Amino acid sequence: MSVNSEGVTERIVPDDGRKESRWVFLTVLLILIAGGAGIFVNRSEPARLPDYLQLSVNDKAVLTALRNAGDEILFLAEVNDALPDIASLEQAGVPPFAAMPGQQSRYHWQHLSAGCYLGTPKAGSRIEFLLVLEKQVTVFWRPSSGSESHHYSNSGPVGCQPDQHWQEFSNA
Amino acid sequence: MRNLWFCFFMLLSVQLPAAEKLRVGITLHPYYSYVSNIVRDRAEVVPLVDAGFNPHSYEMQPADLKRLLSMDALVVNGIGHDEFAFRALDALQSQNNGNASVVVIEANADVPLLAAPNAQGAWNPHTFVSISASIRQLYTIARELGELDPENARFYRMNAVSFARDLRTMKNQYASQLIGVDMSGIRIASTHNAYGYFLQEFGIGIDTVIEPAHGVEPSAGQLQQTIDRIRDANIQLLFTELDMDNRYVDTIEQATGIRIFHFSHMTYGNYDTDQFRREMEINLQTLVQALQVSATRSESGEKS
Repeated sequence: MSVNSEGVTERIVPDDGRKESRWVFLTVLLILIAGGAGIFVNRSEPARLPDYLQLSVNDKAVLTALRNAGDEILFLAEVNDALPDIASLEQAGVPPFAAMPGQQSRYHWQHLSAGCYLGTPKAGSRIEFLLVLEKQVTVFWRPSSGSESHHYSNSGPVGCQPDQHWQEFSNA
Repeated sequence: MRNLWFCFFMLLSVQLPAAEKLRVGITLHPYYSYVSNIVRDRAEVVPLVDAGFNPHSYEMQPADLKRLLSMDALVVNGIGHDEFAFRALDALQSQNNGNASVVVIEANADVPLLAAPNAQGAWNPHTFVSISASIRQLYTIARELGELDPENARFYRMNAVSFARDLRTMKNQYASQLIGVDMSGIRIASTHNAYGYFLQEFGIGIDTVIEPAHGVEPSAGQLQQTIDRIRDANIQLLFTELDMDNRYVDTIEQATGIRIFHFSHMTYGNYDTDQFRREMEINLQTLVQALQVSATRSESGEKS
């Protein structure tokens, strides 16, 4: 506070940079809030891994073999004009319908209808597999529930139609 | 009349230009074998990069881009082992204002993939060190090439089936040598994660992967942890890469007594139609030998 020659009292704010500091602090805060909001809005959810990765080593091997068998069956059907039955696939050595030498097949395979093959575990697994051949190959799997073994309908136009209990193989 | 006959014979003698063959590019050695066995003499297989490169660190050269321009299709691994090809495809797209005509065939599109360890959202790209996953890729490639070249579609598909059966027969020959071998107690370590698909088809999982990332040697602390884990878990076999000098492997061997076996990574040497089959047979021989040795050691250990 100072008093001039005319006796007027004037309040003088000290020039200590406090005002500027306040503005700088507010600006930094604003930038941080805007940046944080930008990151929050733009963050992507981590990719969800496909469920089949939880299968055991043996079951993943069956999944790959079954996906292969689907294409092989369709390719050969172009020549033979018919989809093979289980006995033919075993005889031709097509896995997983045919087991590796010295091993017992861990699955009981059934040809439910044209383009529909079901594998139910005999031992060592609790996963059921379903191969559906239409214009393209689709492989489904689900944990076996033991008693209820028919969660599909084979009344569809080209074979079976799995219900919501089955999971479709996909890398996506 | 004589002139007419002459014209007729001239017409017959004129050779119609043969339908132009597809030029199918590949990025890695196994894909050269796959595609060559599928197309045989009805398409040309063109490596994108000259032999002798390191697929993990390769940077594209102008000559590679020129080669890419001449291709109808490019068969790629597409899940992490041929990133250099995607950089080249991006360069080609930007040069051609997004109108590049190369069809990219993602060989792994339908393979049930394994996750890459220590990397969220990444896949293990070594699907080509396997028979089942290679058959999956053969069928995908044959189907896609058939769409590009419908006249030869059936030929490609039948060749793929024939090659797949050949590979399966070879695998079964070696699998039959494992009849009676008790594999239940066999525990396995691997220097890097290249053999997961191959071991999976024999029902074998990998207990420990040593390298924190492909080609990255473990630190001293990580090495000690690995040695402790091998001892604690009684891991008997260590699979490492053929022709790769990993000094730390000797340290692990000396510290634990683990048995070391070498697998081919399939991505080195000259491009060769038979390379995949030949090197996969070496891998099968190695696997059978390793499992027999380990089972014998377990048995003798139990008896003593």
